[in-house]
This record gives sequence, C-alpha cells and structure tokens, in this order.
Amino acid sequence: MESRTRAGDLCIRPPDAGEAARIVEEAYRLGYRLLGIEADDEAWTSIVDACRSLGIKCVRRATLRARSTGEIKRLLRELRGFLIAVEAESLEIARFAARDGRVGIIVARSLRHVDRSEARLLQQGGGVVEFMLPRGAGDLSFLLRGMRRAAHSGIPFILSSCASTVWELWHPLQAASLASLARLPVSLGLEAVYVNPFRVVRP
Amino acid sequence: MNLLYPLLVLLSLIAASVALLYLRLRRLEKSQARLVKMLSTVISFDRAVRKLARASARPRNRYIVFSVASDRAPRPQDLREAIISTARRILGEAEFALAKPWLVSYNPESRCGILRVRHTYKNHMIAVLGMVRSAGEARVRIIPIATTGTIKRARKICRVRSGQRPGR
Repeated sequence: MESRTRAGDLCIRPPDAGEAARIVEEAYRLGYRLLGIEADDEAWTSIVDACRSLGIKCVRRATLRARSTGEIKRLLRELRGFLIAVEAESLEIARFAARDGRVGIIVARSLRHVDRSEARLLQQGGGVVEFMLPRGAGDLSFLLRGMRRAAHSGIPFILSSCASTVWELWHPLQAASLASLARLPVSLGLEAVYVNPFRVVRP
Repeated sequence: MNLLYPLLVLLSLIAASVALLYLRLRRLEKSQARLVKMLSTVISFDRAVRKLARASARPRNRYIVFSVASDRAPRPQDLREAIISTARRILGEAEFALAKPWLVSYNPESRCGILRVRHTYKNHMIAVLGMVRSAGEARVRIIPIATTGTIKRARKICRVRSGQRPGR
C-alpha cells in the first residue's frame, strides 16, 4: 500500500525565483515532498534554499526536444546532474529514450508511443511516461485515453502539473482521482502520484 | 425348567433390541439436530448475503468537505454554478444524473464547503473539483479536505476548520 503522505510532481516551470518560492510553499501545503523544477542557474540556488527550509526534495529537470537520436545523445552527454525528460517527436526517439538509463521521463505527446514495446524498453531503462494534468477539456480527453493505454500496456506513468503559477497546481488526491474518470482503479492513480515519481528520482 | 431357558433368551433378545432401537433413535436425533443446525446456518448466511447485496445496491450519499483558495472571494451561487457546470461537462448528462452532485453549503467566511454526491461517484467528483479553476470572476482552486458519510460529521469538520466550537 502506497503512502498517502508524500506525493511527487516532477514538472514545475516557474517563470522566476519569486514565483518558484510561492509554488514550493503551496506544493508543500498540498502534500508534495518531491518536485522536479525547470529553472536557470540563478533561480536554482534560491529554489534549493526554499526546498531545504521546508524539507522538500527538489531535483532540477531538463526537458529535451530533439529531431534525431544523434541530437539526443549529444544533449545527454552535455547534461549532468539533471532529471532528464524527453519530448519524443517520433517513435524512434521515444524508443531510444525509453531504453536509455539516463532518461527518467518520456513526455507523452502521442498515444502511438504508448504500447507494449515501449513498456518492455522502459523496463530496461527504468523510466516512466509522463502525462500532463489538464488545463482544459481537450487535454483531459488525451490524458484519459493515455492513462487507459498505459495501464493496459503495463507502462508505469506519472501525472505532472507543469505549473508556472500556484493556480495551476493540483492537489495530489484530485490528480489520482482522474483514474476513476478513465474507468481505472484509483490505486493506479495513487501510484502515479505517490509512488512512481520516487522511483524515477533515485537516491 | 424347560420353559425358563427359552423365556430368558427371549427376554434378553427383547432387551437387546430395545437397547439397539434406543441407540438408533439417539443417533438419528443427533444427526437430525446437526441437519437442523446446518440448515439454519445456510439460511442465516443466505440472509446475510442478501442483506449485504441490498446494502451495496442502495444508493448512499457521500459528503465531500472542501476548502476554496481564491484571489477574491467567490459568491456561493457562482461557486455552485462552476461546480455543477464542470461536473456536467466532464461526466456527461447521463452520469451527471446518476452522480446527483449538489453543493449543500458554502461559507464564504471560512471558505469551507460541503458537496453531496452518490457514493459510487465520490472519486469522480473529487477529480471534477480539481478541474474547477474559476467561479464568476474569481480564480479558484478547490482543495478536498475529507469525505464523510453523514452531513453532521461534514458540518463538524467545517466548524472545526473555521475555529468554532465543534459542538452544536
């Protein structure tokens, strides 16, 4: 049984350090204890201080968008100490990223990438597929179909808000309950919020 | 002397058959009691199963207690409209009718509200509340606090949150 006291949101995109501090504080209030934050070097030091003061684990996230596997390889060599997420433009890149142990997250952009082959490769690489929490009805339909496909293919997935303000954050329980809208057991949603983010970020 | 011997044999035979009959009857009585006990167990189990089935089929209400975070205080009617229209949009007309969501109360001062919903749609409505991001002109976020089975307990949670005495 997963613990319901420590949730993780691995996609936060604050515009500046001030908003980042507000988001970190609000996320702590909602029950998040692990955050993946995209920030530049200048903002990152103040974010780390804010996280440390509240006892939240913060990891620095980098999202890679590339057109070829060669470009991804080059970017992976350059980046060290980041939580790497890959937005796959093609099936080839999705497969490559799933197999690579340095890639933690594959951002779901197309449902074609969410199948049993991807699940097998993700087992090798140890990553997860990320679905963005909705901001409108159109996003919701993609998310629900994606969650169903991932559940049936046996793909571990996480739910992230990619919030840039405090108003875009989701309560972890509300995010997990989206599984019931997709006619899946809520335990899968709870796993996506409370368990899988901690598997991606290894100690 | 000649008559005494067959009489004794006859008497002993009668005694033995009576004893046998008594034992048979005792055993029959025991097995009958066992049978009655077994039957009553089956009947009571059947009753319990039927009762359970009736209980799970009966629609029950759940009361979701929530708090509202907003940039300006939303009016209760705006909040009700936002929740109901979002639920209708996300669940669809058919499921919305089955879920029967209704904003029982909302206190603008403590920003605590209670939403009633059928028990089978509790998780659906918690997710729907997450999708409510505006009410009237206010930007809002609805944060679930607890789910209860009675309105009394839901009201108590709201009172405790608003700092009032938990009693009446």
